[in-house]
Amino acid sequence: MPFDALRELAEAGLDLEVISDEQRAIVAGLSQEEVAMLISIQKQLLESDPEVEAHIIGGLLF
Amino acid sequence: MHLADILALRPVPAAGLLMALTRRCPLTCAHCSTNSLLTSEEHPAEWFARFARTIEREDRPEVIMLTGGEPMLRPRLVADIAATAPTMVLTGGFFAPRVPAALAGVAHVSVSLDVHHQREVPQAKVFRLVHALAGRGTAVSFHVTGAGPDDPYLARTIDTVRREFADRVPMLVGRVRAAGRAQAWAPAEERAPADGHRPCTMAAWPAVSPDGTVTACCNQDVIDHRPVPGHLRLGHVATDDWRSVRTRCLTSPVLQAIRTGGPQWAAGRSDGGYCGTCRTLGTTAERPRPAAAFLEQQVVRAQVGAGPEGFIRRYGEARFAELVMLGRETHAV
Repeated sequence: MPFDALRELAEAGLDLEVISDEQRAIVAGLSQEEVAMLISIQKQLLESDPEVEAHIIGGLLF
Repeated sequence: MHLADILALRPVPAAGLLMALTRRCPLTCAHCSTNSLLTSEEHPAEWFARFARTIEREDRPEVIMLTGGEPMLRPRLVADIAATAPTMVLTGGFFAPRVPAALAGVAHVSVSLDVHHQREVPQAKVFRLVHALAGRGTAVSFHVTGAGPDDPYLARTIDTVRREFADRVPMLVGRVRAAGRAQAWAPAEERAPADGHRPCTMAAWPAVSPDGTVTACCNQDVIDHRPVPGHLRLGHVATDDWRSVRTRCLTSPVLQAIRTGGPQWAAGRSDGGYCGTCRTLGTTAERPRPAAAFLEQQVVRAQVGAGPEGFIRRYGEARFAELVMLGRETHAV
């Protein structure tokens, strides 16, 4: 079956209802790698692995 | 403006502005990430005030967060900036329990609470300050810092705060990082995701350094070291206006890529570490695709969907993430 970015994203739970027809054409042109990246980020955010970095200003996490 | 409402905006590009008004501080905490002293660098207040005056209502940040050093060493500047947009102040509370007049127009005051600050500003004075602010209707929170999730200081302090304020004051719990004076003793950590795809939320809000340079990232190395890598430099408060800085933040292809898939994804390689790879990126991303805006939009939506607690689970002490919601249901936004 040929790669279908829209189908892959919809199956992963991304809300594609909100995008315009113009955007839909852009999304349809996403590469397999870009689609995998989006899905991977969605999963990571749901899993919420702790992520430690020196992201600090004035001692705050902002 | 409740802490949770501020954190909910953190992944949204240019929804907030961070400003370190001075590197000076009257305290000498051993863990100070900015290595602040009373003699540290400080630049003309007018630079920062001028920049704040360029903020116009239609595209103003939803929150300006003032830090330092100790921002309350410049009370007039704090008051001037608070007049331009909803403002949060992070302070060590050296003036506690007295409430400075400059805080009258500030939307949120967050006070540092950790073993090092407490050596210089007693907890009882800090609590009196926070009670006084809350009594005046100012939103308040604590930024509690410990050595890690199992640090007994954290458990003890969190319990004390919850009892003292009857669960009405939220807490943002973090960990001492190996930066500034803590570099000499705190463990350095960098845990990058295995697959290298991790959006950088820290590239969402422009950050003003104590020298007036505006950067796209608040990483302490970026704040402290010059020159700033070209793709992370958004301007200078003495010469640029908020609209230009905001536009650069929102439209830079490389920043969009960093916010979307992280710097390693933007670079197409993962050999230099997360922030290390970012510092080596050029001003043009390797992935300026027409779909960039859509990709970024989706990633921002996912982060906003994870909420304030999701943000803390990623960047703070995950075990204490729910404490950012304390008092949220009773607080008028």
